[in-house]
Amino acid sequence: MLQFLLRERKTAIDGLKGFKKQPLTPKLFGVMAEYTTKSKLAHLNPWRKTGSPTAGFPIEFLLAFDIFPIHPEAYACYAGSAGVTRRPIEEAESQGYSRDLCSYMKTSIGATDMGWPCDFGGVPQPDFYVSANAVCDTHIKWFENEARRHGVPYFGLDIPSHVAGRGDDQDLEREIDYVVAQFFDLIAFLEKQSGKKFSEEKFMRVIGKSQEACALYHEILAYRRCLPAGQYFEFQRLFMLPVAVMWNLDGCIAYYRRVLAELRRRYGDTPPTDLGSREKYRLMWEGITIWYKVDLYYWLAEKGARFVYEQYTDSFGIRRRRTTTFPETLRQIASEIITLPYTLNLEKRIAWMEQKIDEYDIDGVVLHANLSCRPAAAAQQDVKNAIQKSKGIPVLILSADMDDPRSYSDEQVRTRCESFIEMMEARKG
Amino acid sequence: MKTFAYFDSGHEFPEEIVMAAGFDPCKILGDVEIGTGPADEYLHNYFCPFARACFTEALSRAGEWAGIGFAHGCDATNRHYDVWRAHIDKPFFWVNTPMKIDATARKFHLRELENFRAGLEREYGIEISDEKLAEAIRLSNRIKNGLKRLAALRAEHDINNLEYLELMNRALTGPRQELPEELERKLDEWQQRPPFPRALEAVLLTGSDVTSPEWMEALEEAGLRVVRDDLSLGERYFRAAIPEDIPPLKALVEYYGAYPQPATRVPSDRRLQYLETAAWENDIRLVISQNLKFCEPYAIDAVWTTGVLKNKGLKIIHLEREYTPTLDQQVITRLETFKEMALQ
Ligand code: SF4
Ligand code: SF4
Repeated sequence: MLQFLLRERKTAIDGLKGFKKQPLTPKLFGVMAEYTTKSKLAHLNPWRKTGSPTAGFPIEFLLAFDIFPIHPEAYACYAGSAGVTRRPIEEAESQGYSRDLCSYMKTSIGATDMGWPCDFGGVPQPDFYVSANAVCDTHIKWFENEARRHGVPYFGLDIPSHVAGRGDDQDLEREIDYVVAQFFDLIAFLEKQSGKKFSEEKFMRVIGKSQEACALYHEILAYRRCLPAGQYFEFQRLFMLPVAVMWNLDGCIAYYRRVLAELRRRYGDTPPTDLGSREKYRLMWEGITIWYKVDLYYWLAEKGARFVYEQYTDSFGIRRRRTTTFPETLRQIASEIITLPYTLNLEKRIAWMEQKIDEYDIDGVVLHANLSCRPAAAAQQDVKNAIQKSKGIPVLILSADMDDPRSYSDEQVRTRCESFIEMMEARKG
Repeated sequence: MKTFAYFDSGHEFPEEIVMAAGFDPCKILGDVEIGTGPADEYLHNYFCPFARACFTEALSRAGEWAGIGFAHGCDATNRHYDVWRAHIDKPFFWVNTPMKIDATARKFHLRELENFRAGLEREYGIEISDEKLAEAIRLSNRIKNGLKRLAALRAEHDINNLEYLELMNRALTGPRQELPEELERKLDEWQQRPPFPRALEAVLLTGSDVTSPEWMEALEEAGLRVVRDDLSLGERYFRAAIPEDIPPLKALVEYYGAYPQPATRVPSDRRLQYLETAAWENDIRLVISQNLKFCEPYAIDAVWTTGVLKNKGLKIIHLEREYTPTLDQQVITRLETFKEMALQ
């Protein structure tokens, strides 16, 4: 870190300014710093292995072996918030990675190769990589590639696509069987990497904690239904970090309990509560956030437009149901990965969004047409048409990129948002 | 015979089950000459243009087809299925081809193929017996064998790049019953061709599937003759035979693990091994690697693959190509320069 600060003074200063712009509470800042500090120090403990998972991967399996999760996407989000992704992305492109590829991947590869610390996107070398194709191809290709580049083992979890029209009985059961069978392959892989035997009891203890953390997370999310909401997207996107990465489940539970207690004090025990000061425009966001442009959310807030629900942040509270037995838990986890809200098939995605529009009292929806995350941007036109028709609210497709500032035009985005706000205003009459 | 069309990102779709159901399978290949406007109404223009061309074709031609099948492959197949289904009024079928080829994946694959067979039987009120499947597999193997023998002639005779693409195009989109005889006739003809032109350099072609002529023409113009490849409209389709001595659906599962693997599958080392072996078998010095714009699996894989092949002493160029019907003079110049430099 010190070397980085000396070598990359300007980047470090820019990054700190970027972090300062985030709506971080001292506690959340501490939580974020805890993760990067632990990530940097993880390799100092020779008895504790480290493994790199992708988003959507069931990290609890790693935790059951005391393996520390080194999460490249999380670091790429840090770098995005710091506003320092341009150079790592260009570094990766100079190595041959195309301009059109995922900017998380390029941030991560570039920052790592330039020796940047994880707060700025670099990845401390893990002992192995694991990934799942639940969300995209890139997760598989990227992590397999990284494993080869660094000469460490790789395990891929193949998640079938539960496309529209597939039944929720036999088809889903068959898909679940497959994923569960792979969990046993994964366990064998982790036993080999860690040199430890798998313990069902320990795994169930970890799962119990992750289910509790997720339950708290969802309880907190529910306070965003309040008028006004308990939290907004610009905060939520960072607030989800502990439950998304799970590096310290006890710490995560303690932190979320505290936040929930504060919300209860403010709103009472059962959201939603109409406190009489509803936001002018309550918005839903679909897709990954624009990490380097927290200003956009502040600018919209000045106009009274606040994001109160995102499928993206909702998805990270991945454990949605308590389970008691080991076999039941494995099936539940498999089902949760296959039917993640973020990757629901078109029919279910529309139904999910319609339900959330009602629950969160939404006035307009923004769909992020993310230039380097194609899977998340599929079918947006259909979603837009369906929601406009069924709910009669405006839907804006906004073109940008989650981590690559070169694809962002402030002027264009603001012009489009202004017309979108006008449409919401006109609808209110 | 009615046509059953399918869209896959490589060669994942089980054509033989469709043949046993009494249909002619037809791989949807899009048409580079026709704009993707109709598909772009529903899909952003930064999705793979080949996939958008396929959707465009389906929007206009679906009336001619009995049904449409998809196989799990890349993000385009996996995410566009729902969109096709929402806008085309036809029976749709989804086959979750696994990304891996280990024992766990093979078990699931078998169940998926059984499900596909049952789905066709239900939809069309037919029975797809094991005998019919075995018959379809035998026909498929005869076709693969014919294509393999024809493809081998590329290194010995003057068979240009475009002819090879047209042959593959015919094999994957036209009626299958008469194809073995057609291939025999073609074999007689190709065997009479003049020897491999000395002015041309033999190359190995890899990357995203080449489905339209201009890229093959560009290579030809640059003096590069494709004698080996690992493409789906190429060796991936015919290199391996489907086992005939085990139950038919099991045979298909084995087959999918035996052919040259696409970049959408892991481990990718098998893909690399195939390329190395192909280059070695034909004493090839030059490798052309390319990816279609927005094609992630091959774009990501290329960085590693080209590096390894270079280290093995092969001369390799990687290019990102557009989906366009016009010959790009700049690309031809780059290929010519590559050839010149590589052969110095
Ligand atoms: S941003 Fe999109 S493409 Fe990149 S890893 Fe995440 S889901 Fe995949
Ligand atoms: S060209 Fe690439 S992105 Fe397009 S369908 Fe094929 S594998 Fe998928």
